[in-house]
Amino acid sequence: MPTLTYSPPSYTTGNVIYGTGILFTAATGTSAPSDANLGVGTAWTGLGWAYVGALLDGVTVTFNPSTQDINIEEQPTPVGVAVTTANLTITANMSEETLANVNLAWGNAGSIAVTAAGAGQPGKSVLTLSTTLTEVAVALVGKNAYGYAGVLQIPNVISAGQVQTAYRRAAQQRVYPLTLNSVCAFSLITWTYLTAPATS
Amino acid sequence: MTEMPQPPPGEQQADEGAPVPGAAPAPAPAAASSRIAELEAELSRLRSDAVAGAKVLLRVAPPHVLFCHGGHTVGTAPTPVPARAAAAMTEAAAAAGVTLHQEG
Repeated sequence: MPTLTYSPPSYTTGNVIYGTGILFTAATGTSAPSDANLGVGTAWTGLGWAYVGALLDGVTVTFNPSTQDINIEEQPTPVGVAVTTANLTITANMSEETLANVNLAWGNAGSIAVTAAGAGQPGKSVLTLSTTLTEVAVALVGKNAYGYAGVLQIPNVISAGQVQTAYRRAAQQRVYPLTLNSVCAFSLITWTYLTAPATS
Repeated sequence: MTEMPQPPPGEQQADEGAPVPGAAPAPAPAAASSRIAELEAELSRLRSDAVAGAKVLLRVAPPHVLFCHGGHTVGTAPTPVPARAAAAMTEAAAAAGVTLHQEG
């Protein structure tokens, strides 16, 4: 007599990944470190990438396409689905209050002028704001299932989100919400996963 | 059967892997990997320059010592900035009351 078997595929717990992401930004056109150094923080900063520092609740990557069903009278289900718009957004709540982070959260539009301390002149840094939003490159580095770096790189994003920062006595640190919207062709956005060291 | 030619007495053939007299010693593995890292960093810089295109040299005039805009930072020494970013940088500097000089 034939038997009926139930045999589900096995799953890989090692592919269940958790852990923080490291968020870097840089002027557009700044190159990334070599493959071997993708997981090395100083390799990024040495090339001009800025690390945003500590975050309140990590980094969130959101892919949000809106679609249009292509329907025909003859069938109830669509015969095709076309993408009308597709937004890729990286959001984070920056916990480190630096003028660079404030500027980044507020559109990366301002400029920071530094004056050194001198006779009768205290040292100071002045952030001058602007509404001319400036594109920036972003890289999100995390550890992948192999234990090596996995890097999401978006060559052009614009920081454009509502930024609300509360100055509280003790309830919470000052937080600067960051919303980076991609403004480049999707084909320019890459995920790179290192899977094994070089053989020699 | 042909007889293999023998080296003259006192002139032994070098074993494979044995150091060749007069040749530079092979670099230690640590030094080699350090050199590889240096070259990779240099390659990244060159790639970055190639993508960024032409550069101009800008410097900040006193009393300021540093000026940052759009991810580029200019110091008191002539600093290369992508030419396409120079106009925006100069405009932002003027708005902030900072004087930038272009060198060369």
